[in-house]
Formats: sequence, C-alpha cells, structure tokens
Amino acid sequence: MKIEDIKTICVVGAGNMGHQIAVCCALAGYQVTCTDINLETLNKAESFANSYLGERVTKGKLSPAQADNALAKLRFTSSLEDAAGDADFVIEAAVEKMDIKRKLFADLDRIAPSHAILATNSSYIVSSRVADATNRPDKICNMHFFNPALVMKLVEVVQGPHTSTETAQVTMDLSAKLGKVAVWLKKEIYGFLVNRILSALCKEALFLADMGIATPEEIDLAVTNALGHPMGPFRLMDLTGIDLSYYSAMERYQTSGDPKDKPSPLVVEKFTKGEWGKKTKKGYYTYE
Amino acid sequence: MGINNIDRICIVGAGNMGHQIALSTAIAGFKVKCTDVNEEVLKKAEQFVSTYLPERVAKGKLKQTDADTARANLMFTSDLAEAASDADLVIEAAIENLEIKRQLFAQLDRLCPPHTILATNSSYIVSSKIADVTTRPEKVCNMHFFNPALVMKLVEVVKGPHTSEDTTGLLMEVCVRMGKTPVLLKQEIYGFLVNRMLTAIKNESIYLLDMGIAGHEEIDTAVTLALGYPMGPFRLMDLTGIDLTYYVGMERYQETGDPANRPSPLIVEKFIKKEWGRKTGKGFYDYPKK
Repeated sequence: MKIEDIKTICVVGAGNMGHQIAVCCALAGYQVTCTDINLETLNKAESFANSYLGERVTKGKLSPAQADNALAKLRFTSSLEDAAGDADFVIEAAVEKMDIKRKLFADLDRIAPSHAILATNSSYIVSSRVADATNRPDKICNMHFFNPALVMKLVEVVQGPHTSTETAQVTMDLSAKLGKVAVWLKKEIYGFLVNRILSALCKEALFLADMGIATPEEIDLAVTNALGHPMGPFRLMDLTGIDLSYYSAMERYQTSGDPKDKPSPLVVEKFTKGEWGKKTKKGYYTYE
Repeated sequence: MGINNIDRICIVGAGNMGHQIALSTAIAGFKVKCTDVNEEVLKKAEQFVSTYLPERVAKGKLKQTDADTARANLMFTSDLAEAASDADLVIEAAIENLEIKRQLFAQLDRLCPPHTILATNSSYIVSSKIADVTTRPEKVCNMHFFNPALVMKLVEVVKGPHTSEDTTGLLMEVCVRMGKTPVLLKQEIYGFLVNRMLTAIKNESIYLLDMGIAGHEEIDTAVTLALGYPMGPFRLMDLTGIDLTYYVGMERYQETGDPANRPSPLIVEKFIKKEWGRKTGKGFYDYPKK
C-alpha cells in the first residue's frame, strides 16, 4: 500500500486525544469517521469540531471554505462497524487498557477491509501486545500523537517486530500529510522516545529532592533558567498529575520487579496525601 | 558579616568563565580585581571589556555612566597577591584541576584577610575537596555560574558539610545583587542540579541511539518538538564537545567503578575517530567549513 491509497480514516475513541486527531485528519482532506461507545463523548467531540473550526476561521487561520470542507469530511458515529467498515487506515485512541485494546483490535480486524492499517495511539502499550489479536500483524503499529494533537507537531511511529516496513512508511507519510513531524522508532521500547527522556529527567529531579539537595522550586528554576526548558519537571508533574506518576511507577515496578522503578518517597507521600497537582489545587506547588 | 561588608571581589582566572564573572560583578557595582597567570588571557579579557561595555551602551542596554563606573571598578592584574589581599570575596574560576585548585586555595588562604569568603566556580569539584587546605573551611563554598556568565541567570550555590550558613547566605545575596537567580544546594552532590539533570537526559538519549531505536536527529527532533527544549541532546553534545562527554564519563567511571558510568560505545567511537562535534567539523552532525 502507498500513501495515495489512503482516502478514508477511522478514529476510534473521541476522548481527549481522539477527537483532536479526527479533526487533524479532516483538515488534511481525509474522509474521517470518529467513533466512541460513549454518546456523550461523541456529542462533545462533535460540538468541539464545530466551535474549533469556527474559531480558526475567526482568527484568520482557516478560510471558511477550508473549515466547511473539513466539517463535511468529518462524521461521528457510535457504530464501530459503520466507522471502520470502509477505512483504509484506523487510528485507535481508546482508553489505555490492555484487554479493551485487544478486544478492539480483534473487532477491527474483522470489520476493517483487509488492506487497512490498524495503528494505536497508545503512549505505552506497544503494538506487539495487540498485534496477535489480529490476522494482519504486519499492518499493526504505534502512531503516537501528543496532547493537544491539533497543536503538537510530533508523532512517534513505532515499528514492532511484526510490523512491515511498508506499514511504518505509510504511517510516516500519513503523519507528514497531517502536517506533523514524525520520528520512526525501529524497535519497540517502553515509553518510546519522549516519555523515556522525560522520565529520566523526572527521576533525577525526584532523586535530588528526595535527597534533600534542593527544593522542587529550586530544581525547576535550575532547569528553566540554565537549560531553557519551558517548564521544570515538578511543575510538569503537577500538570500531568502526581497520581499518574505514582501509578505508572507502581505498574512499572510490578512488571520489572526492579526496585529502581518504585515511585520515589516524595511521590508516594504526595499521592497518599491526595496532593496530586493542579487538579487537587496542591501538588509540589499550591494553586488558587 | 553582612552583604554590605562585601565591597571588593577578586576573580581568579580570566578565561572563558572568569572574565565574564568579573564583568558581571563590576556592572553590579562591586570593586573587582581579575587575575590570571597568563598575561595573554588577561589582555584578551581586558579587550573584551572595552568592546563589550560600549556595545551594551550602543544597544541601549546600559547607561554610559554605569558603563564608566563598571570600567572604573574593574582592574586586571597578573599578581595574585595584589588581586586577593584586600578582597571580601574571592571567586576562583581557574582550570578544572584539583591539584591546581588546592594550591590556589592554600595561597588564597594566606593572602586574604580572615573574613574573606573563598568560593569556587568549579562545576564538578565540590568545595570539600579543597576546604581542608585552608584555615577557614566554613568560608569555602561552590558558586557555580553558567556559560556565558553575563547572560545566564542561574547560579548554583553549594553548601558543603564544612560551609557555614552565613557563607551561603551571603553568596546568595551577592547573586541577587548581580541580578542572578541563585539556588541553594544544601548538600554536596556530584554534578549539582543542572549537570545531573542534563546528564540524565543525555544518558537516556545515548541509550536509545545505542540500542538502535532511533537516529540522533530523530531523538533531537522528538525532544525539541514534544518537550519544547531549545536544543536536542545530540546537538548540545556537539556544541559542548563529545571529547568532554568521553572524559567526564571515564573520570566518573574511574572514581565510582560503576560500569553504568562508562561512556557509551557510540561516544567512545566518536572520541576515537576525533569526531568531537562542532569544533572538529563533525560530531553527530556535520559542520561544513564555510
């Protein structure tokens, strides 16, 4: 298959990531069907598409014709059969649960045309863990967008041992068509590129705080001032949620059995106190 | 001693870091003497000052009178005794060699009045490795500026077990007076804050490259686009020098004996091939001569 053969895209999941990926694809001129089992999520996604495209026109970023075109190409449905039945490319952006994804990929394998590539937007479930639920492992890969998907340029395309080079290449080409900059990971690895590098930084920052070398504020200051990062690791963890840092470290530790993967004492303390960051008004920093 | 007792600052070393630290302190209103064993380095530093200050005035960043005051506050001398004997604070920015620093601090301890604080700008030699050659360990401390010191706001003030809180408190205040943003490290640790975190990013990036997960360009792209870092780790290593990454890794490995500290196969390869980065025309990226 070549990139030119892709006309119709199905986005599974209309949540946080899915609805923005769907709008991206529609803006790039693809016929897009976005599906979700939750009708409310689907309705919210549809009204987002309407208001977002309208705003882009008001801001002069899009012509009215471009917005109309995108809207005309974008369809929402709660039926997976309806959404995936004629898709050339499926991007799965459902909840990050293994059993759900495996079931979904088995269903998609049944529903989607045999030539269709089935990609997952998962940020940490590598596609080799879902590929065997299908009869087309060569057409399965990770295509990882960043949040918010309409803004963030990067896409990580991860080629598993089962993924054909053609599939990875078409996924790279599709990313480019969407106006993204894609990087090709030649092997699967937990966390891909960005989350691995970010967690290496966070780990070191937590170690420094745990050892009492400096405070989270000072460590953030050091990083933003001397390295020019837009945000320090503690401020960022407050945004993404300290509960998430806790859960992902626990999960990692349970998988690897390596004590180095355990959440840091500071993360455990914050987690236990319910100080999970911005969403609880208190994390490493306090929010009004 | 309070911040108002700090009037005269001596900068030892007029090289890469020293001359800019000297100028920063002079602009902040301190009386500064900058010294170096190398006359040529000293002359270059003085020339830099005479071009930098007028440029800042021309750009409207500095008032003429302030530039004049800064220039009047700053003198260069090759005589360490002359530079240090009336200083309230010495900032040592000499070569990163422990033996040289120990000799220098012993000399400074003899030359300086008893109240003088002796700080080192070293980025990885903690002051406890030097403090014992002086009779004033409580006044010995790390005060780490970043390159270029005239531009970079951050200063890492590192308190050793021998350093008094008065000393770190004063250095923090000196930083603020210089318009810097100081952070206080309450304990000594190899690499301080910034270089430790940078090393964590570098090590993970090199690991991904060594494992053949992605190319250096892709890793740099991922980091700049998704995390908003101004520069990817490989581009940065090309700038700071892959030879430096090699030497630091080897030195660290020899000190700790931990194989995890060894330089990565790729760094060793680049080092041996003399592909050290921008300065050799080739590192992870190519830099064609213009």
